[in-house]
Amino acid sequence: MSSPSPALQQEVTLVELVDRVLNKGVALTGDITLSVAGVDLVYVGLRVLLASVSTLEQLDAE
Amino acid sequence: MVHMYALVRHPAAMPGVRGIDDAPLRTSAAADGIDAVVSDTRPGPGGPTEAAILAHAHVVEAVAAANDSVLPARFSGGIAGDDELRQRLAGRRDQILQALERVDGCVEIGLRVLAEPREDRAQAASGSEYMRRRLDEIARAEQLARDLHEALASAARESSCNVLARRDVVLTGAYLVARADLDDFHATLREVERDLAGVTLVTTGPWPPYSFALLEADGT
Repeated sequence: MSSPSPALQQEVTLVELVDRVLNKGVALTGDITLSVAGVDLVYVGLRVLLASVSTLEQLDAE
Repeated sequence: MVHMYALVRHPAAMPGVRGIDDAPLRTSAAADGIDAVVSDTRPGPGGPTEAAILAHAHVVEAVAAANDSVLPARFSGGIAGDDELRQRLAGRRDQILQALERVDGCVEIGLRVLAEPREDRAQAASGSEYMRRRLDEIARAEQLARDLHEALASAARESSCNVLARRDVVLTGAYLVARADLDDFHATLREVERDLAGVTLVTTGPWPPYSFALLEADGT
């Protein structure tokens, strides 16, 4: 059993957040309002955001 | 257009935050004894942006902090106004009140079990060899899920678990835990963690109870 790194913890937290907001909770509409592509784009966007955060952390550490 | 963040018991305690596009929050009488926390939004090309998703989550978090019991809403567009909101929740009043009762004083803890890369994942010699390994992986994941999930579920009020047995994610779980029981839950978690090998366990939260807000009528 290894502990997750802070970067992994942060990435999982963001994925879980997006999953909750888009897929859980009380649904008002029966329709699927999001295309799969739309959701993927959000994930990609968050990954880019994360990548830049970890880059900054690395720069800080140097 | 109206965007709904959460349902709470009337009267809602309103947090001092703003909603999507910095719009002020307000309540909308969703049903007798139930308030929806909403903000007015401009009609526009739909689809949730990153900023809107984060704003939604931020509001739900703040509403959960201000009210004992909250049902987070799923991000959805296309609600014309308060009348349509009431219509869409019509006939679900009892279910909503029951769900509010269920999650009262509780938070949600998320779990994701990630597989660590293993050497035996080198290329399989044949299709049947690949299938055999894959079935082994799935059997291991299911066993792990049973052990892990049962231990954690016993420390939670309610729980749900998905065995994915994917190469990267073995399983995901969600646990509804009373705030007062959080220390006990984490103690159970640390105990379970000690016996695990070959996986990384990532917990997230405490979240507002997104995964336990679903009503029967939602059909999912």
